[in-house]
Amino acid sequence: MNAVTFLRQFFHTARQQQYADPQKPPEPLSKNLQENITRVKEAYGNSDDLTVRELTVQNRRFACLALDNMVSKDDLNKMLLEKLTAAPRLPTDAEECFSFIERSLSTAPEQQRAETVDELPTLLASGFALLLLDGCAVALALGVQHFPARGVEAPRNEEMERAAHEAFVEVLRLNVALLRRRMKTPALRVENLTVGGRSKTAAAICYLQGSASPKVVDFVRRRLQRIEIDAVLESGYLQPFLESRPLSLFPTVGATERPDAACAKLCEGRVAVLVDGTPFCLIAPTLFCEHFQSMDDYTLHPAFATFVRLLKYFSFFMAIVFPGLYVAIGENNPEIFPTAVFFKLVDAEVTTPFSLMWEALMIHTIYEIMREAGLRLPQSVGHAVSIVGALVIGESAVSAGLIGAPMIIVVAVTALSSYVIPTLYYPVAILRFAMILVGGIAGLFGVILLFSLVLLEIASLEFCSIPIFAPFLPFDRTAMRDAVVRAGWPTLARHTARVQALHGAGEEDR
Amino acid sequence: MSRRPVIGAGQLFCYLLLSRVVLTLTYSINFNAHTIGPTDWLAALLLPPFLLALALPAFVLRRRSGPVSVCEYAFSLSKPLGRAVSLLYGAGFFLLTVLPVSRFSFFVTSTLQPEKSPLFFPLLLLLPACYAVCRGLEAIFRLSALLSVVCLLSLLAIVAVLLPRFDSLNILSPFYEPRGALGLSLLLLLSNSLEVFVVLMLPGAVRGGVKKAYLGYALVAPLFLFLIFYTVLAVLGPYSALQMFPFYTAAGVAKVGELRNLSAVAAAVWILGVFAKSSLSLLLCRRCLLPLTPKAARPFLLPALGAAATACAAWNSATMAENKLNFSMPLMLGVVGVYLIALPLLLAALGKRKENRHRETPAVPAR
Repeated sequence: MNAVTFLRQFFHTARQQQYADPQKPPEPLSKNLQENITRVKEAYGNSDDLTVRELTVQNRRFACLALDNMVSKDDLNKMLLEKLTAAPRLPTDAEECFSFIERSLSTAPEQQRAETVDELPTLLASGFALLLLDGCAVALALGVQHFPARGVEAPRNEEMERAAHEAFVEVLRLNVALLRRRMKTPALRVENLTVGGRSKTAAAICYLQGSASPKVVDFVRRRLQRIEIDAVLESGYLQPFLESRPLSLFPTVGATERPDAACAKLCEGRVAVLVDGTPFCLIAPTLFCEHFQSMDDYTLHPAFATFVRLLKYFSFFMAIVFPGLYVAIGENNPEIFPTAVFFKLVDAEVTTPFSLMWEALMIHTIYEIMREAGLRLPQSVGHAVSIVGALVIGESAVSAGLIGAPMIIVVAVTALSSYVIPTLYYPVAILRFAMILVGGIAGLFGVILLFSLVLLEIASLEFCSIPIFAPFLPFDRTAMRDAVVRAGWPTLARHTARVQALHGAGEEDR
Repeated sequence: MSRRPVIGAGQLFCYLLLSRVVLTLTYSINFNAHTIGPTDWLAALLLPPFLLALALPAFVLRRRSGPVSVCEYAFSLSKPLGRAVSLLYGAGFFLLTVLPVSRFSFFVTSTLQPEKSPLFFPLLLLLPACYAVCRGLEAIFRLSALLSVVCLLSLLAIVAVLLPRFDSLNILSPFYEPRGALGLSLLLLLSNSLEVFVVLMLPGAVRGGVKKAYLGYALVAPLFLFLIFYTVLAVLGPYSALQMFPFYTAAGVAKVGELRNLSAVAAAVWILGVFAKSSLSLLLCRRCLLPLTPKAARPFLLPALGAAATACAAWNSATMAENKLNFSMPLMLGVVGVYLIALPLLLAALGKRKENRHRETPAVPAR
């Protein structure tokens, strides 16, 4: 065993012990009410937001535990406490009394039993109210959740012209409901699970039985169950654990904030992962061609949708290659430019002190700084950043003779092109810098080779044996009707698209 | 669990086509000691049956070996034989890696960028090739399929743009050429047809039939070769004999709108093809040599091969003008004879002998 394997195993074991503590058996609840209350209080370190309401009804002692602002007090009163205090006669035996309350008194739509102390904090943190009864070693958890949550609003990052103006929100249950409302089939399966050693975040795997490949569902399930992480505060935390090659620039797992888009993916055999506290849904697998599709494509005329898609592919190419190509040709092969263009470029560049490569690197760095600054600032200040940036770069740098005007055009065109495919912005931004460097050092051949490597990288990506570059590579003629072009609905409706049925996907799923 | 890579027959066809056509684009008097003449386009048209004949030994061996590579089959016959065959084919694939890279490097350093070091372009090509090897066989074939479409369409575009410049006076009858010229052209084309190498290594990894892919290649590739030779002759005429890289020169004559020439397109097609070829050859070379490498040294095999190929390609491109190792026709014919004909037939014969021995040995009766 080498040192790396040893260390990996050591940390793996240590982490497992930290979260699961397999040595320690779960501690059962006591029959003594006070003891149980004390244990919960100790678990929370006497935290002030833990409310404990003790009451005595017909000489029987009860305690109701909840976390502040996590439950609806009205619901709790109506569904249990009012009925409990008004009950004509409670059974004398504690166990029987518990069963009576559970079966006949409580009208909470969701309720479950908890028999160990370890379960109680998780239930409380999930918005359950706990009813403990003296003389009974079981707690009744009532689903009366009432979190402070944002309502369903229009999507902020994936705005569409004609598609629905509804986006996922932070509440997991609401997100599941948004899916259910659109997919009324009972084939929509929802599997709940908990991720995060400390955060114990609720998550749900959603898929359509019969459409999704069991292999993919199983893969996602196993990967999520094996995750060892302290806290999952956003779905992005889980994404690298699902990716087939987390270090690759191109994702195999995508995210959407649109329930309609998520439903469309489910129909194509994909698996969705919803995470509590996140208004985004992970979609696995996400093919490369899907970055160039949007919900609007399916409401527009097919000809226009096709035109828009072609425009997006061209924009992707431009966003990655254009600055590198300009630098490569300008520095190494200027003879390729048409004569008139060549003289214009020479005129603009002859006065600048830097080479084209350095100019491009500087301008793109400034542009990225401006973008990052504008992104995190309040909208009003963000506008100011844009104005300052435009003035500094557009006017001052050119008039001072530091940067050639054509380079500004190149940067502007590249920036605009990269916004056409927002989901690929980050890989594109990194590759653009690489292209500029390679174009300056190795010229046109370097740019061509680097672009080939980008294609190779995408072609090599797979998710559960489903090639991410499909249906382009391996080529699938029939799937082209919704890849480069967008066929009309009569054609699309005739064929059922399944991601696992693409050419090159695992044979057993076909 | 890793699954066996699966390549479509279409992808194999695309790769074979790209590999052969690109080698013809690199046609140079420096490599072949032969200028493009009227017999070449006729030889290209006559090539299909010869290409099919060239693949016969490989298919005879495949019939006996089933879906395993030539090296795996040799190992199944005997371990020392397996080692020897793996070493030989490893060397063969190393040669196939170095050949297109050094030719491209020679082209760039002699025509476009003479100021660059001879080491620069081999390094530029073989670094990405090493990365491609890491990404695996399927990725290389998928990319090759795309590149072949791009390259062949670009090639057809160049030819289409050059059509108005075709001069029938430049096309001389091949029958006026001296006796034996046609045979020489055919031999030259065959000596550069090394695609059977790939066929020998991949039978188990191809879905949908290697034979179909090879047949398609043997019928279509000669058409492209004909197109290239005919275009060069029709556009440049006898002037082509004075050009080091005739197709590149012909592309330089093509004008489209404001674009003054299409030579950059020709060079782009060339480098893309070389990248695909060198990546696959390097991968197969590694695959051949892997069983011969001690386990501890296996992670270093690819970097070592990449470095060695870079050094060899750099040396070869630097000394190509002095004809030190120019991959001339006799050398390449020797490679074809040994690797594509003699070794597969020998292995098939040994396999048959082993099978006969097994059949003759009476089975031990069960008690």
